[in-house]
Parts: sequence; C-alpha cells; structure tokens
Amino acid sequence: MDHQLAVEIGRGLAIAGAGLAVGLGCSGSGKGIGIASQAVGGVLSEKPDLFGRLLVLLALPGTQGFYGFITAILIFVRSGLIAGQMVITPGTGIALFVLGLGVGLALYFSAQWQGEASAASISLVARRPDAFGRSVILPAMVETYAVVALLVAILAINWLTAPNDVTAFIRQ
Amino acid sequence: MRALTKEQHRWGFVCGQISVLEGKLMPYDFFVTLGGIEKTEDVLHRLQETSLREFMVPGAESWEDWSTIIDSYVHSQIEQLKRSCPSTEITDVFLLSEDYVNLKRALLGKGNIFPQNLFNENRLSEIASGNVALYPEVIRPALGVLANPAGPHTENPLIIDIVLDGVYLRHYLWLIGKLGAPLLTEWAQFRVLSKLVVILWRALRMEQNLKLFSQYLLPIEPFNHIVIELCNSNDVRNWISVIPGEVGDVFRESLEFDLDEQIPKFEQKTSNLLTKKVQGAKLQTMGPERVGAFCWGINVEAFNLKLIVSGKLNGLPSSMIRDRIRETYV
Repeated sequence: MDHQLAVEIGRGLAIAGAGLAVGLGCSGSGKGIGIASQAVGGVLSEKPDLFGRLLVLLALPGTQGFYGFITAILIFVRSGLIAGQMVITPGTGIALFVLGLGVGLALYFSAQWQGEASAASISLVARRPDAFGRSVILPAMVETYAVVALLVAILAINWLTAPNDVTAFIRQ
Repeated sequence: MRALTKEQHRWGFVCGQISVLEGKLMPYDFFVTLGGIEKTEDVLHRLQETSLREFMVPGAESWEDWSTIIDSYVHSQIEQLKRSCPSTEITDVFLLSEDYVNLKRALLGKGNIFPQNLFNENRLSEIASGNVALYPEVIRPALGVLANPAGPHTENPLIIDIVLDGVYLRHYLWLIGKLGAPLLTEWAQFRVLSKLVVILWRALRMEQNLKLFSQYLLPIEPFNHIVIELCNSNDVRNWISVIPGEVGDVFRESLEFDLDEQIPKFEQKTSNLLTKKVQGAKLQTMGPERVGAFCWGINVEAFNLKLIVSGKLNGLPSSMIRDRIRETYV
C-alpha cells in the first residue's frame, strides 16, 4: 500500500474514533441531563428553594460529554490533526477507532444511567433536603466507570501513538 | 426502581412534584392520634396544621362543610398532577367517581356538585336529553339504556344506580388498561372485584333482587362469571368458593366479624391490601405507577379524614373511629 494512503487511512480511522467518543459521550450526557431535569422541574415547581442543591445533581451526568471531548482532543493531537506530523499506521488507526467506539459507548450508557440515578437522588432530596450529601454519592458511583473509561482512553492513546515503541522493553 | 412501563422519563416532572407532595401526606400515626382526641374542636384545630388548611373556610362546622373541604382538597391535588402528567388516564381514574356523581345528577335533572372532568357540561346535558353519542364506546351502550326516556329505570330507580355502578367500573378498568402498566392493571382489577363484592353484598343485605344486578351491572370483564355466580346465590357463605384470590381470602376473614362489621371490615382490609400493593411504586423514580400510587394515597387520606370528622361530629367513641382508620400510603 502506498505510504501516504496508509497514513491517511490510519489518521481517518483515528479521527472517526474521536468523533464517536465525543458524539456518544455528548449524546449520553444530553439524555442523562434531560432525564434528571424532568425530575428537577417537578420538584422546583413545589420547592423552588432547592434549586442550588438540585443543580449539582442535575449537572453530574454532564461530565461524560467532557470526557468524550478530552478523548477526542487527545486523539486529534496524537494523530497529528492539531499539531505535528505524527504518523498513524492503519493498525493504530483501527485501534484508535475501536477505542473511541468503546469509550463512547461507556460514556453514552453511563451518562443515561447517571441521569436515572440523579433523578432518584433528586426525589430523595425533595423528600429529605438534609440527605443531600448522601444523595450525591449515588450518581457519583456511576461516574466512577466513566472515569475508568477516560483513564483507559488516555493511557491507550498515549501508548498507541508513542513515538518510540513503548513495548520494546518487554522484548529486550 | 422497576421498569414497568415504557417511556417512564416522560413522567419525570410529575414524579418530581410527587416527591415533594408525598412529604405533605398525613401518616397513619397522625390519624390514630387525631381519632383519639376527645373534643371535636381540638380535632378541627389540629386539621389546621395539615395540607387541608388552605381549603378551610371560616365557620365550617357541619358534616357537609367538612365533606366539601376534603373533596376540594382531593380534587385540587389530583387536578394539579393532571396538568403535569404526559397522559391523563391515571388521574382521570381518580376523578372518575366525581364525574359519575355529576352524571347521575344530570340524569335526575339536577346540577353538578363536583367540578367537571371527563364529562363536560355539554355531555351532561346531552345525556339528560337522551343523546349518548359523544360518550366513550366502552360505556355508550349501557348509558343508552338510561338515556332512553322509556327505559326500565323509569319504573325502578334502583336500575339507575346499578347501571351507573357497572358503567363506572367498566370505565375505570378501560382507563387503566390504556396506560399499559401491569402493576396498575392488576391493582385496578383487585379494586374492581372488591367493589363488585361490596355492591352485591350490600344489595343482599338490603334484600334487593340480585338478578337485576347480573342484568344491568355487566359486562365487566374479566369478572362476568363471578358476578353471575354471586347473583345466583343468596347465602354469602357460598360466595367463599366463588370469589378468587386475595379478595376471596379477605372476604372469608371478614365473615368472622359481627354481622354489622362484616362489610366495613371487608372494605377496610381490601383498602389496606390495595395500599400495600401500591407502596412498592413509591420506590420507583418515574412512571404512571408512582402517580397512581400517590393518588390512591390521597384517597385513603381523604377517607380517614372524613371518617374522623364525621365520627367526631356524630359523637362516636374514639375506639370505634380508631379501629376503622385505614392504613396510609406514607
């Protein structure tokens, strides 16, 4: 295969992976916040003074969108789209594409479930405003797995696109 | 949380409201304490500390005054939720009894006493003039009997009550069925069966002709065969083998009480079971089940309030009132 074509294919796949990560992450966050905001709206119609506390619970499912954004930016940088002339082989491109898809799915579903968990916590705060501290923990538990997905994405992108073969030491 | 229906997220707003309103419901212990207060004035004074406060009017003393206050409270709460619901069947179910009181009054040429819900002024005036074309298909044939000026009810006014009871229960199940919520369907069927038993039991006590009930109360699917069998027997002990499931168990237990206590105990026990059945929905974040459960909670609350207020106004002993208090949703 022509070297230039191979680089373009690799870079294209990497960028598609970045698109999936940010697209799925933002979609999930939108849906999660939508779910939580329905419950917030209902509670605020009866108890407007709870707005400050409920805003925290409402915002929690929004983080997945940012994790997708960070993943996409990293892929852009490391694939040479933003800076540098990084060479992405087709194999690395496929790996980044699958990574973006996997991370995107993790972010999409965790954001939705976090929205559900936030809605449940919003109900809890509506009934018992003093339980706010405990109520934040419930959706935060879901957040753990979005953070795990982001960490894996950062590490994998760095390893896959490292200028030197980081696995070389294993073979030595 | 149990995913019992589709598109539960659409119910998020109204369920958020319910999360707050649940905190205003009166618990069982409150009613027990209220029932134990000897002076009527003290009971009425305590009610000022509840959600009823904003519906109270100065000088309310008679049973009619208090009944209107409690009915207004229930109507207002359910009407408020209705405005927030993505579909109104579940709240309509709990306003339906008011509609049928208005409908009966329209048939008798009297004015409304409850705010209109499903049956607006035009429909009520139509049935009074013999036209039922705009009523839902599920109740239209039976209402046609009443709208006929030469119908059998002109000779026997009891038929009006029987037909309306049947139409009401049919309409009730139809509305619940439209929601597609298995928990609510099961709950409504339990309620309708227990209502049917009470209707026939009271009729038997009043020595009314049960054949009229099998003729004008039905069809109420899936209970037609049960009603026909009950109507064929004038001895309630034979009903034990006819009434199925939990309702049958409660019926058997109720027969062990004194004769005057049997029907009230049956109603109390079935109400308690209905409350227990919907209490699981309280743990559900969103969905029509949660709305239905809360509306039932308000109904039970209203019953207990009416029981205590009427009991106190009529000088009934506290022990008797306390004994009849129904278990509450919260």
